[in-house]
Amino acid sequence: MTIGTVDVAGTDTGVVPVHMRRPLWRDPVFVGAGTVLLIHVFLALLAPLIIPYPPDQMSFSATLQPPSLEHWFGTDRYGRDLLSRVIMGGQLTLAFGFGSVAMCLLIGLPAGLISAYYGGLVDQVIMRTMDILMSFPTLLLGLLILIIAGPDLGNLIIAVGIVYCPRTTRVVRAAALTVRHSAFIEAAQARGESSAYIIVRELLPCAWGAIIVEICIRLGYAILLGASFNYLGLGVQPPAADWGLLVHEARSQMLRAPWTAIFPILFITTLVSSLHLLGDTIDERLKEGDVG
Amino acid sequence: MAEPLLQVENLSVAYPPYDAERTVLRQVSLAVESGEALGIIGESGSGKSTVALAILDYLATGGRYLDGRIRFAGKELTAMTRRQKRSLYGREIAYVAQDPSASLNPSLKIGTQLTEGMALHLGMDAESARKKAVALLDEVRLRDPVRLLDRYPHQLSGGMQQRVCIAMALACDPSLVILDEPTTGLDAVTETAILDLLKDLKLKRRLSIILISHNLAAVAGLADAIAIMYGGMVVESGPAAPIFARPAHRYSRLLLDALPSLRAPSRALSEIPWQEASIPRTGCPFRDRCDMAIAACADEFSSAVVNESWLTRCVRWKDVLAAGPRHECASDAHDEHAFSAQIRPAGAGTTTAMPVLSVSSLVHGYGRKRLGRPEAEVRAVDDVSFELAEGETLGVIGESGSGKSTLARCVVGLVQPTAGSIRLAGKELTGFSRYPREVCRQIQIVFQNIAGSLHPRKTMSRVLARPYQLYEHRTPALDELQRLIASVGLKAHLLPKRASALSGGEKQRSALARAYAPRPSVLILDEAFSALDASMKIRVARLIRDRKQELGTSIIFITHDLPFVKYVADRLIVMYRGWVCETGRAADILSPPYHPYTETLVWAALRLEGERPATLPETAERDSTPAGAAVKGCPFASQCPRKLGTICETQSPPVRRGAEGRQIACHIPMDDLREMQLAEYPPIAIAKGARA
Repeated sequence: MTIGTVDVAGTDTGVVPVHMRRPLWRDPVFVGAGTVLLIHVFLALLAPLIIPYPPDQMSFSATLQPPSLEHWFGTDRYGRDLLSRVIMGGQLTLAFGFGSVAMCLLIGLPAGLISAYYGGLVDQVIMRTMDILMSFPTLLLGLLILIIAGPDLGNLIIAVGIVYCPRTTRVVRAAALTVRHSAFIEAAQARGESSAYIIVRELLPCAWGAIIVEICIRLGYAILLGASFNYLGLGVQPPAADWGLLVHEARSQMLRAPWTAIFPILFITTLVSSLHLLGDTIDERLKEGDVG
Repeated sequence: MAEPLLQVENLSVAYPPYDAERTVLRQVSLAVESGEALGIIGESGSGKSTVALAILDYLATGGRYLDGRIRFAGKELTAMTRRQKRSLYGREIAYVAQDPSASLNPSLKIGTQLTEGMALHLGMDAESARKKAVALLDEVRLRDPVRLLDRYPHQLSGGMQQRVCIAMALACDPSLVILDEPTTGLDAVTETAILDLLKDLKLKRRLSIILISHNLAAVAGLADAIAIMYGGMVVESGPAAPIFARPAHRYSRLLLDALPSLRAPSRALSEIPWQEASIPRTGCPFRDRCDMAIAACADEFSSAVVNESWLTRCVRWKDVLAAGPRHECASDAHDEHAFSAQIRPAGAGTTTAMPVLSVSSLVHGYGRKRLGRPEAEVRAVDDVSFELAEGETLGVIGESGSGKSTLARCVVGLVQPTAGSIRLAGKELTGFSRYPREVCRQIQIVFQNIAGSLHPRKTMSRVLARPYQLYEHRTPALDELQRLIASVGLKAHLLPKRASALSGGEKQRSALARAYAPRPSVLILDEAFSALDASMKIRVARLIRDRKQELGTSIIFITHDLPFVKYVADRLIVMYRGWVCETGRAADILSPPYHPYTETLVWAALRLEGERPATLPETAERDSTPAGAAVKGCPFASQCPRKLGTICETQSPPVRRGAEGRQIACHIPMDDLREMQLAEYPPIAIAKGARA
């Protein structure tokens, strides 16, 4: 005799038994977002092979054409095929996205771990420096760096990296702090392990989950911020164009030829949302102690 | 006979995917008579908490009743709607969870939390609810209840919090209270007080109680009936007294025999084999570990009736019963003699050779100078001295906050002492800001925290290989690791597993193996096994003893568990708020004269074992004065049952010395103490045979 299912959803236990959880790769949100991200990555990697027209090829007889069979995404005001430009733009967008995040980690990972491990004065110096950086409005700080360093792709990566590294530092530090006072860290100290060993071999593995989430979320933000700078003309220089710059170019005829703006925006949106959704699902799993 | 207040019949509970492996309760039948207490005993993972949650309809997500029914006061619980049940829980059936600090809302005042239930269930207005709250706090023997209502939980001690939880449970005058491990994590004195309170409530209110615990002693004092659980099954149930005296299930027998007792002779406590692999889901769940198992044990066996309400699920219950009452047969003289010889090598404690470790006048204080003005210093460790001979086991006893963990951290070099000296084989260690690696190798420590003692993401091979890499700069061969893990009674198949996949006992034993790996000369066990259940503790104690014989390691054994430390230690030091109030051989300390603080510990331990030594004068509920705050006088003065007068508060007590390195820091001379205490506590037998 079955008496009935007990429903205690919303109780404060909130922990779903391990065996009840769907594996991550069967979570529809994770799979959906992952697929979208993979499509973006493949499009960017294979861009030169799949674009139907050279992205810079102008045709003044076919300017501002709406989407058609010949030009799926239509053409811009110089008659360039928008589909080709958007796909090629993906390369740039992803490149500076990953570049900026690498920059964030380069600064944030050691800073966060050291800050968490040593605490005290070291922590204060590192974190207060980061606070100062973080107190500038993101766009303003980025603008400042780009104006001093000059607009090009490399400087854009550095600028976005510096703007966002305090946040990465905080995330890494917070993740490391949760285990900093665990018995196994104390045991390692009592064993006579060097600080470097404890930071790299004991603290870092516990922070990996949070770092993966941080990479996903930060990629999204970095791409948005990078696109903003490109939109302002402070990053990639024409005729090459990332999605931000494409939107910028579409600005003057946005009402007449909306497709010139819609398609790059659509690409930015799908990429950024897929990254955030991925980050969120991994994050949820981490809270349940599943990943890692 | 009238129908019991609560009756659970043939209850089976499973989690998805609802197969045999996920069936956490199998045909559990229990009954609680009105006004009686039922004790549910079992190891961790035996399903005892699930029974409580099933009665409360509070199973974790996905939990499902496969079969059976629960009747409460003549009503079928399992057939009720949620609305009907809501009016029942909290009002008729109340629940007290294990960790009082986690079950009280830290941001609400005690008064608010107490009156919530009354407003909901009884529709009381604020004024009368408040009055009732005061009466309840008074009933659970909390002082100054009116002021307490406006306190927040963090302002109360653990024992007081648990009393508040009990008061909350009583708020709507329930007929049944379920307590899940209500005293785990409290020190022995507080634990005794809580159990006494429950006993009183049971009588006065004719309250029915379900007490869930792995602490057999706690259950023995309170329960009228008991149910012993193993592997999701009730293996034996019935009236408490006969079962405690002479159980009829082999598992119950082994479990009860594994109970270390202060009073019983320290015979070689019986040992239940380590739990291996998985528990069988058909037939007797215990058969894989049972020394009396026969082929028929694998068959489904409903239960045998020993007499009236006494049921056992043991096929061979007659043979088990035939073994006779527990205390008389278990200690065979030969074994005990061997045991005593093993554990107390001749002359331990009086060795003339240089001690392995010597600590003298060690002080560790918190509070630092600010702007040149010294702040009031709080001393976690205050002038502690001891010596540790080779192969000796030193027990350090004290309740939480007595500074015993800080002492351990000083010795392993995790914190720097403020003053004093620590010498390892004559070499001064206090000068180092970080110990050299060789010193680290020689002093190994196992911490209390089971969950955090091993890196959760490393495999056992990596964890266990690390000492070899660190101290010997080599990667050990697989068979070396296999030998190491086997030495703590674990199977080699655990090596590729991650620490997070291990059970608590497996983790602590792995931590022990890692600590043994570099062959340390001093091993510190800081409450390392306090969280394990009784049978597991005994097995670990035996393991430590065997390894000690093999390696000659000296051990500092830090614990608050008096009966347990009696079983392993050669010498003891008793700490109270950072201060050593008594030192001496284990045998001496556990019989009069006691330091009055030791006396309260012994008193509590004996009470837990069901004896009723003369009642100790009621002392104040332990307040939360920080350790070492008493600058003048005896730190124990405010709690002392044998306080002489103002001298205790104004002058620090002299250290009185007796034979065999015995020291007591008290204003009362040793002989007077002995005289006072001998009348009340017959000496505790450490040597064989002298069971009172």
